[in-house]
Amino acid sequence: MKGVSGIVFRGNPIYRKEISIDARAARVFSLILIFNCILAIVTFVLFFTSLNGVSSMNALNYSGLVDMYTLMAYIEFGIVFLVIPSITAGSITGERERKTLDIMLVGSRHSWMVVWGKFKACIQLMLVVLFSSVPILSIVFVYGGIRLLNIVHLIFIITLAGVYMGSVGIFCSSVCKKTTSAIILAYSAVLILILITTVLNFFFANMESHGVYDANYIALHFNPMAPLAYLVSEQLETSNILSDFIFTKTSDVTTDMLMEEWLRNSIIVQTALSAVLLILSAVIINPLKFNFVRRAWMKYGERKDAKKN
Amino acid sequence: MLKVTNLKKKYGRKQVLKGINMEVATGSIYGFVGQNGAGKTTTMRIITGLLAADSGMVEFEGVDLLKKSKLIADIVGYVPDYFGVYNKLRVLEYMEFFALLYGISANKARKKSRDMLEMMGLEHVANQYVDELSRGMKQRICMARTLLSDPKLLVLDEPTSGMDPQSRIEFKRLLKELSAQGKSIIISSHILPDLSEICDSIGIIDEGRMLYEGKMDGVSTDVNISNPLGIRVIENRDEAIRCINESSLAQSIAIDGNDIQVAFLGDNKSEAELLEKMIANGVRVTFFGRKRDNLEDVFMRLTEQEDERSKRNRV
Repeated sequence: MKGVSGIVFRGNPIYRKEISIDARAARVFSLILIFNCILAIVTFVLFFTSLNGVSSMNALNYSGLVDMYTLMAYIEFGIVFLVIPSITAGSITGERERKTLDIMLVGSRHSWMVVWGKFKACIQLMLVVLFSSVPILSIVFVYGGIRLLNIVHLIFIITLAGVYMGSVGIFCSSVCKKTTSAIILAYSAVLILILITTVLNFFFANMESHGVYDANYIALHFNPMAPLAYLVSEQLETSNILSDFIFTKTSDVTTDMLMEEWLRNSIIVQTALSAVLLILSAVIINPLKFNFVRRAWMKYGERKDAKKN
Repeated sequence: MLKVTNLKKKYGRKQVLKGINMEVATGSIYGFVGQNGAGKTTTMRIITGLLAADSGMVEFEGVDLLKKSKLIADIVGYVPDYFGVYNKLRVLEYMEFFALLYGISANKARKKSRDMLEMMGLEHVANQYVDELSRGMKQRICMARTLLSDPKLLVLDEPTSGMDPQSRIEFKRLLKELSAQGKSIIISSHILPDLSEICDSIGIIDEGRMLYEGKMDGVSTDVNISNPLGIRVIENRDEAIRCINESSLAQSIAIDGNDIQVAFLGDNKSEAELLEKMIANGVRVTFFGRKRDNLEDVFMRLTEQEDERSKRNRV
């Protein structure tokens, strides 16, 4: 297997190196510990609060399940939101600051290898963190109503959000020279994606309610949080504070079928956008590894020279 | 052979390379000399495919590296003027990482890494963290890392800076061995005596322009024509002065005891004729010759001339 496909599907040395370094750093261990501690504390507090209701009133309050599941899902997202942009934003700039990027680029046949190796290592870290929380998440099975497949869907959607935010982080890292500025840019970009698309959706939804525009939540296709908000409300068959906020339900025109299509489309849009951002990052860190960029640059230089002469 | 033709590069409005030409013969060591900011690193980064040239050509054995930059990974090995090491990796792991990056299969990567460490005399630190090593050792690891891919062309940017004298001597020996194996080497350094010892040819760059390019042997004779002719006599000094004065090529004479300095415009043949004439006239000569410039003198002379020329142009 040669070229880009080989880099994607076969062993990537940069990915291997990242994993070795991560395994020696206290970072991964601390991250898993802190994340699971937060999740466990919140979950057990909610769980025992609803159990107290059983002993005092002889009735189990099922809204406790809804609150607990919703909160757990958003905590998982929150951790991914806090961790992924900072790790990915420091990936390329870190190599630049360590002055190892140039050496890597001279030796590797394609800059895509660097970007993909870094990205894969970050996503693996996120998956380790997410899967480590499954035992805590499984507490929701005590109540019934939530199936294993729901948890799989939840982790899938959070992973998708991680991939999306991760590619934004890698892109910022390839654009910036310093890690600090890359991290600031990455968080700003993700926040802008969440807030601007929500505001735009609010605007479109208001127009829609006046019969002016049929937006079908188009802006929310770009919102990394929207698929999760939709999935959680769909799984629990009830809306929650965030899904209400993001989707701004001002009219009842949205059918289940339409929304299922929306979820599928947003998964496609966010995956495609992630791929585009990763490819752009590879182009930015070494444009010369891409024939079309190199040719365009040389032609531009020659034309400039010819004009001068 | 590496052939660089009319290489130009601009950063913003500043033209940093103004048409660089250079030729590095196969199996030779090419010293690339210039002040800081002269354009050495820019030229080297273009050759290694890290930077795009605005125009020009970089050919290695008939392959245009600017057009087929993917081949650079197979052809060129680059040692920049910094280490580029990972502190949390052991030396052997670090080497294996680069071996895999250079496309060496996982089975062979470890063996190749060990071989390179052995070649550089670093096998005893294979299990140490890179961070724990001395500056000289890190430098040697960088060289070992570059040799993993068995590149035909080595581009070394200030590789001996920070090395102790012993390491420098070993390093020079290694470069000679590598060039004997047929590798072409471009080396930039501010330690000019080192370069004059190991280089076959030399390129002197200043403000993005090549001031001199040629064989190392010829550099002093090419540039030192304006050096005065020094003559020391032990008898018949006045006769010697008369012989010199009779020559139309002698511009001026300075006398200090038995030492005579002559601004003499002639070539080797005219110098020999003058010497024969003096001996025939009974002058006993103990020294006759021009002061041979070393690389530092040549470099200083060329850059000073260039400075004066650009000052004049500005006026």
